[in-house]
Amino acid sequence: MTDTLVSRKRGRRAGAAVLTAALVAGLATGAGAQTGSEDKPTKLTIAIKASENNLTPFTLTLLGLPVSHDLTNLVYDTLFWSQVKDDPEPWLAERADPSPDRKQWTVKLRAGVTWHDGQPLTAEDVAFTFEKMKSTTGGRYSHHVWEYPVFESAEVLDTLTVRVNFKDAAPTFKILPGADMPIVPKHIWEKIDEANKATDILPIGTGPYKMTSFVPDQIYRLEANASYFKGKPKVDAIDLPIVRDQSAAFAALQTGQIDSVDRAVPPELFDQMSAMPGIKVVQSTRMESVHLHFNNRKGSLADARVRKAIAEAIDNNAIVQTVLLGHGQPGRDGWVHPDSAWTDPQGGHEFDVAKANKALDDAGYRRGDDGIRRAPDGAKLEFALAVAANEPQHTRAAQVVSQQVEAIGVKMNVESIDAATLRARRASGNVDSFITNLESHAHADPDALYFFFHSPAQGSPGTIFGSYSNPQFDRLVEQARSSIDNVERKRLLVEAQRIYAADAPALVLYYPNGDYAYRTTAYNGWIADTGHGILTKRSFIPGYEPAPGSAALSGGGAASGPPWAAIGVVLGLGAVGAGALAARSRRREDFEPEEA
Amino acid sequence: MMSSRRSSTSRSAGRTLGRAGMVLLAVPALAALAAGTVARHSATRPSALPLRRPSLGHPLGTDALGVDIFAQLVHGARISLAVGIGAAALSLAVGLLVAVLAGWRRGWTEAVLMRITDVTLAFPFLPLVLVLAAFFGRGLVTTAIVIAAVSWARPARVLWAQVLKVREYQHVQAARAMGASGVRTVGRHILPRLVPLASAQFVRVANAAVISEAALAFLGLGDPTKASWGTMLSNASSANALLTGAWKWWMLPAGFALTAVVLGFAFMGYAFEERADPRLATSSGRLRFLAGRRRRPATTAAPVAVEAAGGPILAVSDLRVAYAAGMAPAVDGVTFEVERGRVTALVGESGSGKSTIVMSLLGLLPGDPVVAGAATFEGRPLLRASAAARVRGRRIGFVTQAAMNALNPAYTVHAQVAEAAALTMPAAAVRARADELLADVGLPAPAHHAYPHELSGGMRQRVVIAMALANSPELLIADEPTTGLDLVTQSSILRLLQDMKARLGLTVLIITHDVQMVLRVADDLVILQDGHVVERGPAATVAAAPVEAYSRRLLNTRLSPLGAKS
Amino acid sequence: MAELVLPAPATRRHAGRVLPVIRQLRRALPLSALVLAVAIVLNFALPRLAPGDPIDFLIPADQASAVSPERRAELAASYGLDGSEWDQFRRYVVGLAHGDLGVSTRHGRPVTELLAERLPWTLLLVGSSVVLSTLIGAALGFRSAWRRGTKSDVRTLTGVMVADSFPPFFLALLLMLFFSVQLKLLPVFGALPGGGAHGLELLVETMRRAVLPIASLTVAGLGSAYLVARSAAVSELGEDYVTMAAAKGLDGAGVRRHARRNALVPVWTVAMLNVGALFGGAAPVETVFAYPGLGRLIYESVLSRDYPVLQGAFLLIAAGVVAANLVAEIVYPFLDPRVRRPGKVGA
Repeated sequence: MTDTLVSRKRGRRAGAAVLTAALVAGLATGAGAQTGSEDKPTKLTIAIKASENNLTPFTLTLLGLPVSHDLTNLVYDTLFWSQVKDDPEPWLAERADPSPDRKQWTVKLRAGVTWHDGQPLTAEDVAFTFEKMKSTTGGRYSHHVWEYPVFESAEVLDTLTVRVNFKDAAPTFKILPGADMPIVPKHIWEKIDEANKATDILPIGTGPYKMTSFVPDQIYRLEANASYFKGKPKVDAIDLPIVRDQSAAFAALQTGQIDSVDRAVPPELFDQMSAMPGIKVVQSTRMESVHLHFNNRKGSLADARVRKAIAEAIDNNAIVQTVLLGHGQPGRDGWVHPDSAWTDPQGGHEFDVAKANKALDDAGYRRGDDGIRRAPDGAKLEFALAVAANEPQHTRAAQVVSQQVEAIGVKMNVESIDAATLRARRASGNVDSFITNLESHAHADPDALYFFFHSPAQGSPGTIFGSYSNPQFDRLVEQARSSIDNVERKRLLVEAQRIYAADAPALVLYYPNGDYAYRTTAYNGWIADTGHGILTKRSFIPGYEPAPGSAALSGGGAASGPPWAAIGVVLGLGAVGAGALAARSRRREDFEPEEA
Repeated sequence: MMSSRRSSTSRSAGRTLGRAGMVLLAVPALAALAAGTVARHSATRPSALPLRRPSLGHPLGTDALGVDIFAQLVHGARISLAVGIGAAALSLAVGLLVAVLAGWRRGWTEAVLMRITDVTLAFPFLPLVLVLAAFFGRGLVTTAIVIAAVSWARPARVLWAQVLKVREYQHVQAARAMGASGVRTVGRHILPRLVPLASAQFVRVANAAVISEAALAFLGLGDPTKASWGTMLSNASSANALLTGAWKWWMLPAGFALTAVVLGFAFMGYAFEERADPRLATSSGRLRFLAGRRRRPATTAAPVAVEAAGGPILAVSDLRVAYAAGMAPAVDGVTFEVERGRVTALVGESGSGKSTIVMSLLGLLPGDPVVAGAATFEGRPLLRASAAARVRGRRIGFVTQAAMNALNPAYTVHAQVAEAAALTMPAAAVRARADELLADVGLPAPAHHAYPHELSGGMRQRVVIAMALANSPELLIADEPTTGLDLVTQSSILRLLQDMKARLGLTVLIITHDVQMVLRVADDLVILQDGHVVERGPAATVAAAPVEAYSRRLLNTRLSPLGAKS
Repeated sequence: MAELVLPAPATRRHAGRVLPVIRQLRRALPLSALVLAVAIVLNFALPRLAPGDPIDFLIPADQASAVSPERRAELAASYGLDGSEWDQFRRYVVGLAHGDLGVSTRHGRPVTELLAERLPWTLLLVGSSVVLSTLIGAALGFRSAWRRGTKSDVRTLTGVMVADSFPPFFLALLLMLFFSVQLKLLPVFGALPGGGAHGLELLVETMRRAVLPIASLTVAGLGSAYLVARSAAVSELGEDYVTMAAAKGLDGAGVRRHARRNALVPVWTVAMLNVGALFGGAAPVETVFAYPGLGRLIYESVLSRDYPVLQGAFLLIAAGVVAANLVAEIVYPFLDPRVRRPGKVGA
């Protein structure tokens, strides 16, 4: 600052003016800069919910689950696809043949498959992938080679044939890891030491799309792999901007800034989205589940009669109606998703308050003056029901449950804690009950019951799924796990599910539907792929046309569109210049700027 | 609508705002108290199907669980107010403790406590709240504690400064000297004096706490089973209310209720602050001379056309001034003339209205004073709007009261003199003119480019005189030009004035209470008492034989050892 | 709200020959260093006091039981989170000294990279809104002061306080609703346009995405700037030099300039304090607009116990606040000659 007072009289507000002008210009010209679509539906913009680093199988952040898996598999391929069927379709593999004891699998690869950089796919790559996964810690995929089935070695028999050896029988090899683990190129990854930190390279896969660029945490740009072995993908390019907020994502879809959203349409938006011109909602099954777990070792909850009574007091249907507004299926007492190959065909949910009350009366749990039952030892049947704060739907379900179980004199206090704390408390067994969810992986995998509900190892603090323990159930799932024959396996699993249903170590509250919305003007070839939704590779590959008359719901439903324009006026927010800008605005059809 | 009824001076915006704030807070407070009767439905249990639109039974519809939103809104008031007041009370308690301990004990206690306070102050507030809230679980008490934990430092700092001030007060010192115990002194003498500032801080923290609670709840770090307004916004947002249209009855009420409470606290806070810091409230109203656009500097000197060459240069007749409509006049029917080429003195005790006369003539009185009567300068009316502005500084130079404080600390004295000179002078000549003026008033060359704080009181007085003379005025008015200076400097300033008068052919009007000084320089005396002229005439005559009793007393008590000017 | 607690004015005692800037630095650096030291310790300790473990987030919940303790330890080691807490702290401090903030457990990427990605966006938001809120707030505050006691003053005062009372995230929601959802004028999410925007178009698109978050934060910072400017200018108007400026013939603008010049000092201080406040306050607004800023990164890292990112981001913000305070101190001498040139001439 100078001290001259005499000169320098003008030009003080220039700074502010320039800034304001820049902002206003930004608003105005931007609003007018878009051009209409050119009827070239070969580029899609799909909002995804989380950043997944550079989408390699080693560097996935697991934030975008369950879609992360499908995104990675746009770039990479697996030997089979996909894991939600008990006999998945051969993909990179032409076929895989087991040894009689199922410990060895000989995989014959499809010929003529090339990596995005032009190198051919060979048996070396497959063998390398198994070994690399085995030596890499953490991540989404590696546990299927170092935990179950335990991978031992891979021998390259010829350029297209590889034999994979497991420590134990691996009867479901084609599903896990066959249809789960993406195959990576040896010539890239053999030079990389810490694979889980290789976040700055562009991924090279064999998949239908190759990544051309990504801005961390903001956008991925994919381009069709013209020499894809299943034919050139039907969409030339896909942009995947990251939009964390659900409302923002659907607002963007509604305003036409994007063509689809990776998330299922929330129940409260279903009618509105279905009725919206230019937008279509398809129903599919994600095979996800939301469940209430009990701590099977704590106090009265260790008593199966108490757990079962609570389960019987819960009206699943009411929860589906309230929390999902009907867009889902009520949970089954046998846990496994009804669309899974392994589910008990006679499974269902028993809702019977009278029976539950009687069972508790008989077991000696008497009501106190406050209406809450006491265990024979005097302990109140009052439990904390923990939910993760970042799952508002779980909180709502918990609140309904808490009110429903009052009918049998049980008090469940909903406690919302942050996800990390909940996780820690689950691991240490410091919870009464909690609500959590699992993706399709957990229902498609025949070993899921084993993983989640087999008794914890001797002396361990328990599992984060509630430490259920029943020797009979243990024996059944152990047998199912090593069973070579699928029919026998299913029989064992159904039996296990019935024991499970009687013991109620956990209760599936509901299986949400997967309803996906997209703009029909942009692309119409979407496939509602069970367990995957629509943002999956089969939606883009020739030969997988949507089934005629599929569950797609087009516009024209009962529209109760709120009077949008009327209300905006109310907001006198001092929006300077809004009028001027409004004059220059117009509805934009295309999020993308015109291509040069 | 918020302003006072009188268009002129609303002495205290704070009082109006404070009242508005109380109303804004009273509504939710009543709602909180009477929540049970106001809301027919439960605020936690479903009373209808989920996501219903507003209806008679449910004026704001239902939320995603089927709980009545209106009931949540009413009950939410409890939470917002409880968290706000709880956190504020807690952080004020801590702040007060720290402030009193540090300010009273001094020494290392103070050093340690105030370092901690400074460090806490330097931390970013919200990220810390985020982390603490996420880690220490949710629940209203936790939220209040977390907010208090990061917001105690500001009250501590403010109150500490006040404790330091208060402990130097005489009665506090006396109490200590008489051996009153520390606790007793603090309780009796210090705490009461912290009340205004403490209330302001209390409201301020409450304000921040309400916003913080809402922000935490909105981010999902609140207790979702307790329907606070922040939780409502968060729930609505996660139920896509923005897209379904439910925002109209779900988000707007909660958001505006939140805003109203925050605003209520803000208004109250302003009112308290105004009370604690009277300078904001008892400011003397607006300053007319601040209005007006920028005027182009004249490139030529003002015309020195002397019209009524024979008459007095300044003639005041029956001047009456009241500071505001309805107030008793401070100047009541004053008449006098200032003869060209002479030194006239307005003499009176403080409160006699002498400064008011001059300020009103020059249009410098603050607020909306009522000025009546007549005054002419060079025969032209002076009291008309903008007439004074035209001659001020150009033809009438004015040395304000306490002139040594009348320099802007931010600019060099040269710049300030040059600025005055630039009014009538081409830019090229201004610098030289400023140097010349400063030299004329006897400021040594090295001091020309000094800042005011670098000069002594006498030197600053000279600079102000140089500023007043910058545009070669015909009349120089000096208000108490020697007050606050030591005797030697007083003499030299008087000599300077006389010197300038002689050299420039000035007419001088001196305003003073100092008879000693006046009799040395004045040709004519005007003696004022309580806004009236009690006597006027040639200085020698009046001094030798004062007619009025008041004049006599004034002259006698202050009779100068140097005697009257002969 | 107004920050009326201003740093104590610089002492005028030691004149010395040193440059004023150095003198100011010497005064302010010890506190800055202390704040940073405390920040480093807190950054390390706070996340670890919380229940939960970053390693949990490297393993999907359905696989948690499949991971042996050895595998967990191996994972922890690969992120430098093994060994005793003291060991970790030592490594953290040593790493800091080398400019190495570690690797994010959640992203598997160096923290410095993550911060470098987020910082520009936060700077864009916070920088623009500090500048805008200070300019607008000060302009309105001065205007109020010039008209103090009039209806216009009370109206402005009330208006600014009303605007300032909107919780920033609520204002953000309203702005988004109005401009993006209703009028469809502005994009609803993100910081960068999709597709291949280049040059001017990229700039324009980026601005369009920044406009609403900046507006929300600007309003959030407006009140403090306004109130301080107003009260500072009011108190300057009580000074004799203002009357003198009028008396020497200056017009309204000239007199106002004199008062404004001195009222700038507290306004400047508050602007710098606002930097700190907005850095943190940006998180909820960033959430509403899905803006990839630092506040959002902290929030997400808190939820996933990403210790290295939390440490780094906190340190960065603390350093930013400290830097803002230092800048404030350094600039004082230029705003106030009494600080720049203590002492007397020819004394």
